[in-house]
Amino acid sequence: MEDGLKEILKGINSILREKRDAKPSKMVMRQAIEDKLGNIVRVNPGSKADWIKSILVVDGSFNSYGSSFPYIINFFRSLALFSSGNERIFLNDIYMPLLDMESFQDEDGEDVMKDIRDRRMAEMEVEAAIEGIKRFGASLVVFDGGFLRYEDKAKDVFEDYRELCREAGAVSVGVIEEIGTFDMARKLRDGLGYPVEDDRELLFGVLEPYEILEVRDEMQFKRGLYTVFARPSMHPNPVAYDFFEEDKGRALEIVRFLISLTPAESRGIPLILDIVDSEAKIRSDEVEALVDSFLDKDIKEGLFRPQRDRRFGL
Amino acid sequence: MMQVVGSTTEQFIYVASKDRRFNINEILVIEDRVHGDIKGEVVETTSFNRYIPMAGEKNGFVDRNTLEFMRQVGFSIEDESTHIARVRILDMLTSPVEVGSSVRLPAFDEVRELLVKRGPHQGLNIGVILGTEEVSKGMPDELCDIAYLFEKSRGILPQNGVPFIFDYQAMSEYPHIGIFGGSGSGKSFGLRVILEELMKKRVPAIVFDPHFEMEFNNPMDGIPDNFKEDFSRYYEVFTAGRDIGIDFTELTQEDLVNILRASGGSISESMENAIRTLYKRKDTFTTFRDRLIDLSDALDLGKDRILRMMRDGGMAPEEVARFAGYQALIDAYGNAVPYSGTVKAILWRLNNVARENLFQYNIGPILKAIKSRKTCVIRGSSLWVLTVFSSYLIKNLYSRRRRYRDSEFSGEAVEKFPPFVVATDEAHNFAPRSTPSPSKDVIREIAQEGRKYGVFLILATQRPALLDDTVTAQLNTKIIFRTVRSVDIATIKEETDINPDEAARLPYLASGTAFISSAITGRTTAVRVRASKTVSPHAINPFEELERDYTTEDDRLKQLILREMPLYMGNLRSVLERVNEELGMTYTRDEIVETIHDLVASGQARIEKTPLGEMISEVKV
Ligand SMILES: Nc1ncnc2c1ncn2[C@@H]1O[C@H](COP(=O)(O)OP(=O)(O)OP(=O)(O)O)[C@@H](O)[C@H]1O
Ligand SMILES: [Mg+2]
Repeated sequence: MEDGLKEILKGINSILREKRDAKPSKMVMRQAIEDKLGNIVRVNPGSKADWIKSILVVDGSFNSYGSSFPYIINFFRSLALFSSGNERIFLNDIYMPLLDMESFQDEDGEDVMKDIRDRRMAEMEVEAAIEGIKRFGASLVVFDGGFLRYEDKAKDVFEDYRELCREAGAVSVGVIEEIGTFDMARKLRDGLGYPVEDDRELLFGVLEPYEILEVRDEMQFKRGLYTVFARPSMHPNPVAYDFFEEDKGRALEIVRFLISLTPAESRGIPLILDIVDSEAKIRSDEVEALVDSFLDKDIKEGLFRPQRDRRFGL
Repeated sequence: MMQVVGSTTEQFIYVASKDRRFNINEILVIEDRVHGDIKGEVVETTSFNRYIPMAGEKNGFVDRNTLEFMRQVGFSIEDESTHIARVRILDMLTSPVEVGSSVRLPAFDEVRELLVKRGPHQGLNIGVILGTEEVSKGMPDELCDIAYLFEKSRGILPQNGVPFIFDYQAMSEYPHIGIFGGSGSGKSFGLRVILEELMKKRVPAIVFDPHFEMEFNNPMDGIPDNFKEDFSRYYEVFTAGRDIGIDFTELTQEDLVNILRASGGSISESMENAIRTLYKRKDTFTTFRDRLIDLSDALDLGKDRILRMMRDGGMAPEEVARFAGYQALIDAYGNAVPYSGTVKAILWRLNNVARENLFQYNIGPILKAIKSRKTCVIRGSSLWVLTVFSSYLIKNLYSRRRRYRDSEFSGEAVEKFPPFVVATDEAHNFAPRSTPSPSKDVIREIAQEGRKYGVFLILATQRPALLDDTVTAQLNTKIIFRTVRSVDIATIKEETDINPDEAARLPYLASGTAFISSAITGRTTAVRVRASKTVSPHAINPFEELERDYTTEDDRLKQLILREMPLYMGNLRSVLERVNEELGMTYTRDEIVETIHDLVASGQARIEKTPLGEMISEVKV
């Protein structure tokens, strides 16, 4: 390796080292968390509240085919899997900027398309959940990911969904494997005298297996929502669970149940979410096969063939 | 429901099913819109459950607890199983199978053509075709209960599929059988089954039996009466040097060279030349041996000395005659064979063969048995005796058959001689790939020409890679048992139409399961060889044998000695006699004394000094 690179990496390492060494002890961190944020409680995994009779698990994925904007075809799929009878609702959609050019007036096409794509994805997941509740009436709906994304990208349908849940008596939870918020870290930073970057770092390895952090109401930072943190497996990674504010009373029971659905050796998300994730996934070979069978060859070659395929004279 | 999924070719497809597990080698019918009904054979099976993924970095090992809680909210884990089969298409297609086609199990009549080419009475009934359990339910009675199966731990089991019936008559077009497989893979067992079938068909056979295991009069334990068979009239066992041997007068130079080579490992060129020079047609063993002895003596004396002694005179007349003989020998052979060492080396080898009594008998008994359509089991006191004898025997029988067949055209009067089969285990010793062997040439010749004369080979070996490749290439049917060595797998792949899926299964086949790759059936069939009707005399586990034959022998001896007590050490003779008579053994006095000491040491007996010497009496507890 080049000497320059070596030096840079060494430098980075020593900075990180210094930072890590400055990290307060686990005891100190826990104390600060309990003082400022809320209670840490330990639960026994292996419990299910009686009212949880069935669950609906929701996830989605997208994939794309094409060279560059606007010659791109976006494929979407969302899946709601209902526990009783392993019933599945699949929603599929395609979005092509080429057929929607009025949405792209003079702004940056790529950015707009990304936004449209994220919206469509979020909407389809919520739509699958709505369909699932209407059809099966689950007592618990589990989403892969937090609620902020739906509030942001699919506001209207998500509101409809929340309303529907209230009527149907269904409780919803969003499981967040990669915590991306800063709010708690920010609040604790000064007291600790240590620059904790984000909430994930704050909790990483600090909670013991099966411990739950019940954040006090005044410290909740997502408006209208209620979030609980936990370490649901042996892995030190903390996981967050989003609830609607109105379901707060059920949150602890649900987190306990979700921990029961989480293999002890996993990174902390319920097995069933992993399964739904892989079932919802639109694989690239699927995309290729679809394109091959439904687009004429000259159209495919002329408009959509990805650049990377054309290299090396392929 | 079974359905074609994924991408397909004209040769391979995947079939998926939610509720039915696939069996390897079973035949499926694909209902293709374009091609009509197509048949395919399952070559690989997989099952997986989406709810129980492989342990991976992401989800780790899935604990029972997790699954239990999933069940509690109504997930049915079992319903998520999917079974997938990779299927090889047996028909010739020109375009791929249609994805989505339904797949079903065939009715027996749909696969009869494919699986059973011959009725049970017309072919050799070797075993059961794997993967045919379900389809065999619609089989006609004549195909049922004709191939019981055997499993070491469970004994005799019913026939659970379509029988594999080998069309042996088609060997006249596609001759010879090879039986390959590693140690304990089922070759000898399989050979036994084939020989039983050949005996039933009264096909004359020569079976070389290096392991003394080919005996057909011990019935297999637990076989039903309708499956039993008495073979005692259909075979005979011969031992080279005991009841059969080599007729020296019938040997050719070539034979003799081969025999002497085999008897001593190898021979030098000068020895070979010497043999060719010294052997005369019509020689008997004695005339030939005496010539060697005399020549050796003459060479030791040396020509000059012989001449001098004859010139000096003063010898008795028989001495004169002897020296004259020496001189004649030296004149005749002295140039070609100048050293007595060469002659002595030949003599040493000749005596090796003679010591096995090989030259005292002939093959008359075998000729008689073959003509009465029997199987002849041939044994020898050692592998070299057997190989030496086998080369002579095979050559002799083969030339009889040839002469007879050729005479049918030439009109010459030659004694009738039937077609026959030559079978042997350890075939790589009889026709090794790169080393010479006395029997190799004739085996090669039969491999190439035997078909014309109705002479067929059945060659079993652990090491196909060591078998002469000309021979291997002529084996039109190959029965391949478990094989682990990669060189052997490579040879098998080269020499058969076995496909990569099957080759990959070779190291894991159970004993008695084989792929039969045959030009006769035109495909490779996975077969469980049937239970033999008879067992080898030493099929018993050697450790069981120890328990049965030796511990109890010892115990019985102790019991008998205890019964003789009190006894006197000075008078064991009568005890010894009675014991040996009772047990049919030949214990020595020392062994009896030792046993008595054992009994004393273990507290079952005690020694007392008496006026009549030491007295031993039983200690009663
Ligand atoms: N067709 C069969 N059915 C059931 N068991 C079998 C069958 N063939 C072989 N076996 C079992 O496997 C054992 C070994 O078989 P066998 O003696 O035929 O092996 P082999 O291939 O001749 O081995 P080796 O090369 O060491 O002589 C048998 O004793 C028997 O228990
Ligand atoms: Mg054997």
